[in-house]
Amino acid sequence: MPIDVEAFYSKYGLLVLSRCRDLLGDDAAAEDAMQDVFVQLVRHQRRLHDGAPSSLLLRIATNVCLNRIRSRKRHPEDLDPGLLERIAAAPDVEAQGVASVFLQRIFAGERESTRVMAVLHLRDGWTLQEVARETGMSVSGVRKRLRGLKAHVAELEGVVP
Amino acid sequence: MSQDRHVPDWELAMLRLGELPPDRAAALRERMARDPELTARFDALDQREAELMERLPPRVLAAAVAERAAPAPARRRRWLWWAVELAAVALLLVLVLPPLFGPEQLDVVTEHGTRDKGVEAHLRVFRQVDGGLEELDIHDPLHAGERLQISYVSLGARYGAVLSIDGRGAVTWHLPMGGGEAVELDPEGTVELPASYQLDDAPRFERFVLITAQEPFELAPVLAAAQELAATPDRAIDAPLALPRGLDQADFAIDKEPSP
Repeated sequence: MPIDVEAFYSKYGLLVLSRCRDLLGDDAAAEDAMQDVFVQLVRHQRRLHDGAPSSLLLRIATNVCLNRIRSRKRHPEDLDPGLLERIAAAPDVEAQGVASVFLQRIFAGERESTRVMAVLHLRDGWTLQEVARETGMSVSGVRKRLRGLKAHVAELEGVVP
Repeated sequence: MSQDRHVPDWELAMLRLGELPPDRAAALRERMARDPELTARFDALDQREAELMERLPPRVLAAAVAERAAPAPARRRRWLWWAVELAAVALLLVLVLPPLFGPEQLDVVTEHGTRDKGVEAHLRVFRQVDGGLEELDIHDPLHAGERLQISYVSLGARYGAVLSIDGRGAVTWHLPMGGGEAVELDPEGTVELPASYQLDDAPRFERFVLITAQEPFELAPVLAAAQELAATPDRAIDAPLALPRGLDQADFAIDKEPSP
């Protein structure tokens, strides 16, 4: 059965919008990103798994927003980018510049984007254990994945060996 | 969870939905009990949601999403798409056949032909266990000696091939077994490949890749792309194959763990 976008939005719209607003810091951009989140939900509806949709939508929203942050035009005066900008700009082996790869994996219950994991841990304050549970990975697996971003995100120093 | 950290609105929204992980929800409720401001923000979510639904009603949002989700050719030729929809509606009214309301009606015509809207061909991988098959998730940990059954779901893709790359840099054809030219894919359901596959002792990972197209294609360029990628195992575990134009790919990787 095709998903009922109206029903999903009615129930989860505020959650998605809040997440996008939290990451993008701008109401208009957040609302636009929110629509893209539901577009992804439509495009990958057959791969939706059982479980809490809010968790899935949270990760999709995070990924959508990171891609937007990544594609923002940088200004020359941005000599000290913030945490999100550095996470968004960090290379991610599973992305290879193709945002849809992230999303396909998220929907397929596959391994989570490392950048999304970094946001959950560093910005949202989730413990490694919580990130691991959220993404269906082991704690050592999460730590291993985050290790790859350490050179680009100073906050990971001390978090991962 | 730190007591001093800022609690974002989305976390309160998840709590309100009852979908926050239990221990995090308990901690947040405990904090709300001693933080009136946080409680007020939580209580305000009802009003904020009502405002959102008024400003952007569900029906409007759904229409906007449908617009964005439509393939580009359909957006460029909206009048034609509407004509097709009208014709489909007329046909439904005449036939009144409930099964036609199934998800198959989401098929759309793209530059690659008729395809299921927004859903790509993909692989499913099963492990042989006593008494049957157990479906695997991506990056499930497996050991040398375990036997896998690879299956594909074509979802409108007409021709395809399946290969694997392992952590030792070896490339193996699974469909067709000897390479050559892509095979015509079965359009229906989950289709098992002719032979199961036993994992060897190659380290780290085994990654299966389904390559598809709407037209027949030679496998030599695909093999070259796979071998080039396989030469760098750190990339081969995740990076897409550099395929010729017109070919799509979907992968399924499993993690290899040393045998106990």
